[in-house]
Amino acid sequence: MGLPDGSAAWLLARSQLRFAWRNPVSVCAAAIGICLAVVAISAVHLVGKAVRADLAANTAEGLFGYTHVLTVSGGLDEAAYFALRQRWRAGELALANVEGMVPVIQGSVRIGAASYALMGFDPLADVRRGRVPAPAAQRDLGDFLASDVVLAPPAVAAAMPMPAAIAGLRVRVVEQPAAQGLYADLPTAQRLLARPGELDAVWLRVADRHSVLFAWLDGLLPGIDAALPAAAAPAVAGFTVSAASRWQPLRRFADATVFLLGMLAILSVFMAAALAAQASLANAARRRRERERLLALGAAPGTLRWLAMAEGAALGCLATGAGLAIGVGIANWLLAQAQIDANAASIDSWLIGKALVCGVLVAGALPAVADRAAAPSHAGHTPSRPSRRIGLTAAAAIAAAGLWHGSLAGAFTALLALALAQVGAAVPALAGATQWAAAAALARRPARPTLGGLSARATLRALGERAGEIKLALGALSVAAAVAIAMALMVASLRQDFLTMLAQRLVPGVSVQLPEDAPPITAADVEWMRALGVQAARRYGELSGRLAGGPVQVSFAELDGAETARYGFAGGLAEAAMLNEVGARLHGLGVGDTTTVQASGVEVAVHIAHVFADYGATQARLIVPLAWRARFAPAETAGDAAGRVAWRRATATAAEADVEALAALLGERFGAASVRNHEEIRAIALAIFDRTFAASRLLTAVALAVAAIGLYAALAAMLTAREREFRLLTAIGYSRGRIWRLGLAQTALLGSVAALAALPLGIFMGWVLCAVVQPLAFGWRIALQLDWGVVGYPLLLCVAVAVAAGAVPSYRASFRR
Amino acid sequence: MAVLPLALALLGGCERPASETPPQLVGGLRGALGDEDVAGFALAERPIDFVFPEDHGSHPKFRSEWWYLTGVLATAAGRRFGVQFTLFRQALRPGMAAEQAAGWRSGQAYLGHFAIADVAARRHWHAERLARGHPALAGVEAEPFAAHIDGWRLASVGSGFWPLRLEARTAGRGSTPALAADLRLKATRPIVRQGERGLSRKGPGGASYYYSVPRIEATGTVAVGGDRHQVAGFAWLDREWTTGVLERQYAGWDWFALHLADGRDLMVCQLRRHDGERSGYDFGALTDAAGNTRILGAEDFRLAPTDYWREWPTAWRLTLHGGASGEPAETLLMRAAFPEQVMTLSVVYWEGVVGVASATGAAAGSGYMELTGYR
Repeated sequence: MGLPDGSAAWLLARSQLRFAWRNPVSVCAAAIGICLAVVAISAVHLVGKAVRADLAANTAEGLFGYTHVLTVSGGLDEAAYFALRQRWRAGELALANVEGMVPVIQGSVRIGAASYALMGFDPLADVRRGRVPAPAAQRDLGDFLASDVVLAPPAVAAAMPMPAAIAGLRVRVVEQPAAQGLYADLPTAQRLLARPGELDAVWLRVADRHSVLFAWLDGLLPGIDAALPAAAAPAVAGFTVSAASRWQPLRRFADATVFLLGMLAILSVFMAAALAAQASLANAARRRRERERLLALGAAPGTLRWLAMAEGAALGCLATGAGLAIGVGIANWLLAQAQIDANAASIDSWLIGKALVCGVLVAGALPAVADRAAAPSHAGHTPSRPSRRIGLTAAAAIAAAGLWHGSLAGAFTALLALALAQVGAAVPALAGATQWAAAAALARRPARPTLGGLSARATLRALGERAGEIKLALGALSVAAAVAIAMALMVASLRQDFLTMLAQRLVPGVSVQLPEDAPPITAADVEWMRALGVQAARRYGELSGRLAGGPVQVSFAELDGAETARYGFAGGLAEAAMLNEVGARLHGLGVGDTTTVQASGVEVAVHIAHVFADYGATQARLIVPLAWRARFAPAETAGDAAGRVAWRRATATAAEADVEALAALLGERFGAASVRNHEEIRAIALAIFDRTFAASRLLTAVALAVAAIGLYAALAAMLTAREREFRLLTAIGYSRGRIWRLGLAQTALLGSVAALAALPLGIFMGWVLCAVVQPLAFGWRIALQLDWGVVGYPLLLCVAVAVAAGAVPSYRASFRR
Repeated sequence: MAVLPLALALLGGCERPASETPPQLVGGLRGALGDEDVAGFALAERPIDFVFPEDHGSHPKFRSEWWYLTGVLATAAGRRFGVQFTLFRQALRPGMAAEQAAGWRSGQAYLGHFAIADVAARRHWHAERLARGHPALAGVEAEPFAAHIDGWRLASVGSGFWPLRLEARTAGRGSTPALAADLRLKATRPIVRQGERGLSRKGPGGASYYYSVPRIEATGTVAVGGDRHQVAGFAWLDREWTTGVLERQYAGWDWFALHLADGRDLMVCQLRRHDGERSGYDFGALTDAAGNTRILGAEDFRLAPTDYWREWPTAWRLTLHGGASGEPAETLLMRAAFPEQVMTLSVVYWEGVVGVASATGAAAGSGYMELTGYR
């Protein structure tokens, strides 16, 4: 005979309310954890969106939504484009998935004293051409197509000379987000670049049957697009087709940065689930006796589970609402700190959906699982060693497969598998080992009748017997610490590369850029500089060329040992050049290769002696000896290849004052020349970098806070279970302070266990981010900087978090009599 | 007039949901095409004598022009298909000298629409192509005649204008099958000059030059997905060029080109005013089996919708009044072969196959209907 359903529900509801009334902290622990998880998710989602919008607004649009770039080795011309288009329209199988194509020519043009990047395209080539810039006033489209008009974003247009000063060219402002440089109709660009009939590439829009799913995923996790496989490149006979991502590493950088933050949020959810499970298990264990009583009275186990789920869902709703509100506040604060426009961080349906799913499902489902786990038949069940071994092996296999796959998705799958293995197997195994070691130590160590000896035995016993009880929370804390280590390593390594890049790009001292039509620097100029105290003067030049059918920036420099050292090459170069990684990847070139470069109407053979990392580069860049100017411009005219000259000062101590004075003198002597203080630029660039990654540090802190809450709930349950032990210690003379310190020492030891487990995982994750994710996402390598200061800080934070989480439960335990 | 709807829609006569339209494209074309400043372009102001084959070709001094072919075809087993091919030309700037208008800088933009209606399956598929005037991309030549856009081509087969061949195909994409039409076309009736010897007035200040080839024998194949069908039937070719835009008083129009079973060919078009009143500029033409044409004015016919599908009036009653020779009034009932023949492209309009019945309900022919300004 059982209880009538109505009576059972009433009794259970009363039981739940009574438990909540008597144990508010325990009941709220899970809710607070979920709340923090939603905070993390909300903050990351909103910050991610805003960061991406900010980066998109400040980096060139790249391919405007086109998915692939088609080039021809040796150069592309209009006839080849028309033939290709005809093949496409005739239904050639290889082009079956192409939805649109547009011919493109790129280069730089000189207008007045400045040089501008110019992209020419046929705006009518693709009926749904997407985001390619168009005239702001639509009626001007006809004018754009029928006359010499260039489009410029407002900032560029404002800095340009008056239109009247540009012979035969009209400038129209285009309000196109992320537009940089100038845009023109194809024939206009061909005329301005003096390349009639030529093209650089054909951009393709290739249909992807997964595009709807991928768009859905990207809405769910902003930036995940960077980790998803691009549509397969069509194999078009006679052409080279490459994915757009290879041509726009900065775009991938933005997406990948946001995605990394998103992954952190996923780990936060993961930890939230772990801690909610931990808190639910603890609560269920506490209510076991009451549960058994209700079962004896005839309540159905299923009803108990449903009520537990309802209770969890109600808590989840409350926690989700609170988490959303706090998350939005944190996101806005973060964005304000980073000086990023917060308007892009508006709440969207994706965020609400994510928060609700996370909050309600995690809060609703886990208590039911916990309720089942707490049932007598399941009580005390822990994964067996074979299960752990299987789990670890499976995770290792998944991680290996993910890394072997060589894609961003594979890399992140590997990271997730490792994190799961950490919680499900590594930490429990470590807890087991600790348990074994503690038992062995207790067996070897005779009991000493001193308080210190008793404390040591109590600590070892707690470590041995209790570590397994809070393994989920320890696992979550461990993963949080590992992520913190990995992120810190990646950011530190990235910063180091960034510094290297700044050193490459910004010669210390002052740089002056002469106008195209200025006379070249003379020996008298150099003497004049020396008279000012300048210790060294270097000359640089630039021109645009083509390498293997694609654009390349050719830089001229005096390639002595000092100059090449800035690019990581030892020794001077007189008959060889250095190519950046982007160029090497795009054209399949490497050290020892010889290729040809076309520029200024001539073709020059180039031997590549070194491939250098070129942070942030979007196109191929070749650095050749200054003496090669004659090869590229046999009949040298004023200004060609000698546009930029930089002077270097060795007196770093008085650099600031000297640099300003020098800049003024240089500006005075060279008239319209652009004089730049490289030290100032370097400081600004570093500030921007640090601002961009400030969000990642705060999110790491949020993840650790989430883990701390979980650990708090677990420790509270564990210390409650040790009530009898504390009463005994009080009876034999332990003071409250001593018991509190004992509790803190025990939690510090548990935190150390989590930190110990986090160390190898964190370093490995950092390596994956730097060695696998970085090249895939950004297009250039990054050297892992294993700085123990960087690694130690998260570890210390992990232990501190554990101690902080245990402080209140230990303090409460000290009051038990 | 068949093409006029498209032109007028492009000129700003109708709106379409933003989600279906690349905003820049619509905005761009509407801006480029809808400018009321006609300075520098030639105007259709008085009747002229058409000169062929030149007038089959392009008239770049006028801002807008179109070549518009529709046909109702059937297999030997009686399965019916509708085929529509439209090429629309728009001058980008007036007065471009010949030496300027070369290569990429032709000063012309072209828009092509291609549609197949499978009546038995009640499915309507359509595609759109946009290109600038360029020998390799899009353009129209008068002799030998060829009108093409990005792979679609309507061209003379031999040295004369007739016969013509239409070749158009699209690739399949997702749930949309690949489409193809390969038709050979031969006129069986002489050209009909619409309006006043080819000058078709659309209002007090607007007119176009307009001629039709009302009955063209069409044979060939249409293919939908992997199914290829041998078909035959009759097509209708409309040619029109103009500069002035449709007057603001009009909301849209309803146009019919019908092949009647008794051998007559009938075109009627009514211009719908925003205030609901009937325009005095409605027009049409009735050609009998012997090739004699009676030009119709607003007083000669009345159109009234009798049924709707969504916002589109898909069934109509046409009352054709007797002419000066005292023929009795005639009533024809037109109904869409199936209602879902909406062209959801850069402009949204209804264009598709209709069946014609007499007042007693007896089958009396078939043809094409075009409705604009409803969305």
